[in-house]
Amino acid sequence: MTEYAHPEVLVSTEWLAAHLDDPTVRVLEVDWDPVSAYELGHIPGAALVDWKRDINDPVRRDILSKDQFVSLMERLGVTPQTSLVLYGDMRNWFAAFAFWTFRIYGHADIRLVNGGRRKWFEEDRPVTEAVPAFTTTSYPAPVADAGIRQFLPGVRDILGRSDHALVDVRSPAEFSGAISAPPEYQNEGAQRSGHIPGAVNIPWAQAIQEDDTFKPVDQLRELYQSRGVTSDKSIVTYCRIGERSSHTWFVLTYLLGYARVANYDGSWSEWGNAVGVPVEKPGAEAVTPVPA
Amino acid sequence: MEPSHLDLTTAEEECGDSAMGRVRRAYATLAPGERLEVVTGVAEHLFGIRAWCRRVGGEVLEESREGGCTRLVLRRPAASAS
Repeated sequence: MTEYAHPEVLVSTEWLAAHLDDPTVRVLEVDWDPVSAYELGHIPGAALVDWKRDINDPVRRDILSKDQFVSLMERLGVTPQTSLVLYGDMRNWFAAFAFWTFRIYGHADIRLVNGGRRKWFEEDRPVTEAVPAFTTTSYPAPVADAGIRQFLPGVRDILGRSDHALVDVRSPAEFSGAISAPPEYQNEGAQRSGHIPGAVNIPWAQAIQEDDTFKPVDQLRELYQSRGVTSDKSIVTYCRIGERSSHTWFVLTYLLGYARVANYDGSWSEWGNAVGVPVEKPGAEAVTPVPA
Repeated sequence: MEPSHLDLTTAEEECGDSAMGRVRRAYATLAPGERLEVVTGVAEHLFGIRAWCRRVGGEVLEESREGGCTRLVLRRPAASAS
């Protein structure tokens, strides 16, 4: 078995256990629901990154701004040289989203805990409710790189192009249009259900094993190549709000080493609400948008 | 009266509520004295359920292993928070 393309972006739970007191490392738990996760117990020394509050703009729908990113890094006592080690609730989806976001703002050394929070608890490793405090740092304003992000017009432009591949990482029920969002997420619903035309459905969880660690590289390669998601193409991943697709973006970019992968974080909650964009829904008659 | 039942072993592919979120929602529907049976095979869930019950005053009446899963029975006491 060959190694992942960029193994340096993954750390094991064993590695993390040995680096809990490493001053060059900042461990961050990225949660969608901190009340159900971080606040009940977390890895000793880990700081909370609340996905809704810290990674997203509080008013408009967007990731945090460059200034907000700088403020977050400074509050967490991070410098450009710090190794950020990310894990989180919901099986590392939101940690992967934070990885993608922090990469947009150019932080160099970011790593994901392989197996995440679930594996840490499975191994009965130490947990605490203590919240760490850090000395505020000065973090220079970065130059944002939007090359790993895709927006709706860009997705529309690649429809039907053989040099691109769209990967819908949602569940088969979401892909088929049987559901657009679970009922408990009313603000993530869409006016239309189905998927973006031409997308292949490879649910995010197919990239991981029973213990939430990533599958070996040869299995990952087979998984994506067999569905036409190959390294010679430009790839766009999407889900409903962009966090599960961050997980797959991470797999394709860092574990398989694909050169051109972008995450469409607008995802189905944008596409399924947009007027005039084409939608593919098995069993439903295809609707061609009326030209403007 | 039979306890309400919540199975956390189902897949999380759809990005629905978190396991603990589901427990909290199900617990919130209990009347004082009613019970909730939760089944999970995930240690993270077990830790979260126990810790959350301690926090809100919920009682863990039973805990048993069945195959690869753990079955917990929680009870909402007369004056607990949710």
